[in-house]
Amino acid sequence: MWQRFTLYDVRVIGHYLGVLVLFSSLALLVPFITAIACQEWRPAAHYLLAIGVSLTVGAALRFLRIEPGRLDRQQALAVTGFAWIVLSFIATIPLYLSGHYVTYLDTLFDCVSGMTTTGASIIVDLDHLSNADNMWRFMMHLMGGFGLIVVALSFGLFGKRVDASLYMSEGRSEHVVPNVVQTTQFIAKIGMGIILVATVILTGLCLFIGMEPLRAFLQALWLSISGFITGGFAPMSQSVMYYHSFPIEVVLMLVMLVGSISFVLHAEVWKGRVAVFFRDLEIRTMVLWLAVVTCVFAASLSASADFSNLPAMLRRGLFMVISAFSTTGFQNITTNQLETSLTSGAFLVLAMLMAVGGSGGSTSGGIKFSRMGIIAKSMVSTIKEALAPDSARVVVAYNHVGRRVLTPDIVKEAMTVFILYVVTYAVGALVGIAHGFEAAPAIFESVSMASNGGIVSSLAAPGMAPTLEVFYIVQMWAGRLEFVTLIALLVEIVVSLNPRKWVVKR
Amino acid sequence: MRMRAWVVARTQAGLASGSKPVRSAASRAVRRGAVLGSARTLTAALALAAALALVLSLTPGFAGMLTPGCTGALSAVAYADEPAEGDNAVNTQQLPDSSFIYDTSIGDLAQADSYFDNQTVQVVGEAVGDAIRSGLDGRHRWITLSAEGDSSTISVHMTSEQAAKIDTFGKYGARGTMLQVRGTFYLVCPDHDGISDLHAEVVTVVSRGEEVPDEFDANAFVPGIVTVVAGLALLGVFYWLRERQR
Repeated sequence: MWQRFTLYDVRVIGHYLGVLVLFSSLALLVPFITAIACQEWRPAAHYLLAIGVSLTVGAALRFLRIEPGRLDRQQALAVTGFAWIVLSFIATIPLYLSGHYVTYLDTLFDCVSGMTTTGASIIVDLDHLSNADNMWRFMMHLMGGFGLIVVALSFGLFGKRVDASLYMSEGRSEHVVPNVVQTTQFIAKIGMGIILVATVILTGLCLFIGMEPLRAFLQALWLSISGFITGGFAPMSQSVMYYHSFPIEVVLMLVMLVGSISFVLHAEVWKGRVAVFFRDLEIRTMVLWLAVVTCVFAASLSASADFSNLPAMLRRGLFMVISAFSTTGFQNITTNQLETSLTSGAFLVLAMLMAVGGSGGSTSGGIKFSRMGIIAKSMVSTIKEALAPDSARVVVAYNHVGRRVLTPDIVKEAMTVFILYVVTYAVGALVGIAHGFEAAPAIFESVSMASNGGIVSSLAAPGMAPTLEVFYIVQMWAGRLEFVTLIALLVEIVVSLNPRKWVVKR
Repeated sequence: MRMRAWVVARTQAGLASGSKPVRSAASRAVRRGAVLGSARTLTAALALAAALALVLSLTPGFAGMLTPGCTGALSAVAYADEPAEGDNAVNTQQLPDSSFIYDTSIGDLAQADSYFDNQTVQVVGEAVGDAIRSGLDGRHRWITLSAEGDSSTISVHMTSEQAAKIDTFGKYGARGTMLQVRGTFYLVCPDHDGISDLHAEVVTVVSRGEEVPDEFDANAFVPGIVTVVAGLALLGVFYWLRERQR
C-alpha cells in the first residue's frame, strides 16, 4: 500500500516551504548589504526585489496552514525534496537580472548547481560579475553545502524539538550529539570556524600575489566557502588557475580534504579521539582508494607527452585528483587541457574519482566512501560464508565511530544507492551521446552532474540544449538528495494523483 | 583558414617591401642605361625580374623561398614600429622562417590543440582581474586577457614593465585596458608546471580602460520596495491570524 498525500499534507508542506522561502530572504540580505557597501546600485535594486518576492511568496505559502503542527516523516521528505528546487527558483531572480546568462534555464542551472554544491557554471563573462552577485553565488554554496534543512534546523526554524526524519531526508543519518538541532548547530559552528581560518590565510596569500585588499578578502572568503563546502564555484572564470600560486593551491587542497571528511569524525577529533579517526572504515577506504587511483592517474599521465614531467604532474595532477574526489570542482588546468592534453585514461580516472566522491556525512557528493567500504565488507562476508562450515555464523564488523556489525539492512541501503548512482551516471551519459557528443565527455559530464562533482568538459556551456540542461538539473538535484528522497517523493506524488482513476474515467 | 590569410598578408607585405628596391634600382638603371646606351635592355631585364618575382611570390609554393631576405627587412621594419621594446629594433628571438604569427583570437587559443602549441601568436583582449605576481623577484606578472563577446580567457606571462601599460583592470564597473599581445603560446607550458599560457614578447595598448561606476537611480528600487512592503504586510497578517487562533 503506497502512502498518499492528503490535502492536509499539502497545506503543511506548503507552510514549511514558506518558512524556508522566508529564510532565503534573510540570506539575500547578505548580497544586498554587499551591494550597498560596494556601491553596486543596480545589483542592490535586484536583491531588494528578490527579498521582496521571497517575503511575499514565503508569507503567502505560510497561509496554507496557520498552525501546521509537527512534520511527520512523509511531509519532511516532501519539504526537503521541494525546498531545493523552490529555493533555486527564488535564487534565480537577482542572477538572471544581472544579464550574465544567455537564457533563464542557464540561470536555473547555475542556481541548482550552486545549491547542490555541484559547482558547474555556465555564466557568461564571470570576470565582470558584481561583488554582490558573487556573494550570492557563494551564499548558495554555503546553504546548500551544509544542507538547507540543516541550516534551517540550526536556526531553529522548525522549532526546538524536531523529528529526526527531517534531518535524515537530506541524506544525513549520523548525529554528533543525540539532539538533531544541536547536531546541526555543531556542523554549522565547525564549518564556519574552518572557513574563517582559511579566509585569513588565503587573504594574506592573495595580498602577497598583488591583489587589492578588498578583492583579496572577498575572493579568499569565497574560495574558502567553496573549498570547504566542496562546491566548486570560483570568483574568476579561470577558477583556481587564475591565482598562479602554489601556496594558495596547497591551502585549498587542505580545505577540500577537510571538507570531504564526515562531520562526525571532525567531532571525534575535536573531542581528542584521534584513534577513532584512523580506525574508521571511511578513512581507511579513502586512503586505499586514493592510493590506488592516484597511482593509476600518475601512470596514465606519464604516458602523455605534456604532463609527464614531475612538477607538472605533482602540481596539476595532485590538485585535480583532490578536487575530483572531494567533488569540489576547482580546476588548475583549463577545460581545453582536460580534453586535449590529458590522456583518455587520466580523464576517466577523474570521472571515477568524482563518481565515488568523499565521506558520508560530509559536504562531498558521489556514492561515498562509507558505502564503498560497506560493499567491500559485504563481499568479504560473502566469501567468508562460502568458506565457512554450514554450522558457523559469520559476523563481519567495521569501525565507524565505534564497532558496528554488518547487517543485511546496511548492505541493502548501500547497494541500493550505489546502483541508483551507477544507473543515473549511465543514463546521463546516454542522454549526452544522444545530443551528439562524444562518449568520453558525455560520461564525464554525466558523472560530474550526478555526483555533484562540478569539473566539466565541453558539454555544459551557455545556451546548451534545453533538454540536456533540464536532465542535468534533475541529475544534480537527485544526486544531492541521494535519490531515495527524490524517488520516494515522485512516487508519492504519482500515487496521490492516482493516474489509474483518470484512465478508468476516460 | 587563418594561416592562409596570414600567408596572403605576409606575401603582400613582402611585395610592398620587396618592390621598393626593385623600383628604385630600375630607375637608377634607366639613368645609367642612358649613359651607357643599354637602357632598354636593362629596363626590360629588371622589369622581367620584377614580374617574375611578383608571379613567384603569389605562387604559394614559392612564397617562402622569396621571403627570407624580405622577412628580415619586414621584421626589422615591423619591430622598429613598435614602441618601448628596448633599443634593439630587431627581435633576436625571431627565427628566420620557422616561426609564424597567427593573428588569432583568445577563443581559438582557449580551444587550441597541439597545432597552436609553441607557435607565435597575436591576440587582442581586455585585461581583467589583477596583475598577479609571478615568482618572488617581481620581474614578471600574470595578466588574464578576456575575449570580447565570449567568456574565453587566457593567461599571459609578461614583464612588469609591460604590465605597467595597463591603466585599468576589467571588473564590475570597469572596462579594462585592451591589449594586443604577441608571443609564444604553450598548450602545456614547460616553464610553468604545465599551465596553458602565452609568453608575451610584444605588448601594445589598443585602447585605454575606463571606470564605469553604477549611478544611483531611486526609481530602480521602487519594485523592490513595493514587494518588500507587500511581503511584510502579508507576514504581519499571518502572525496576527496565528495569535488570534491561539
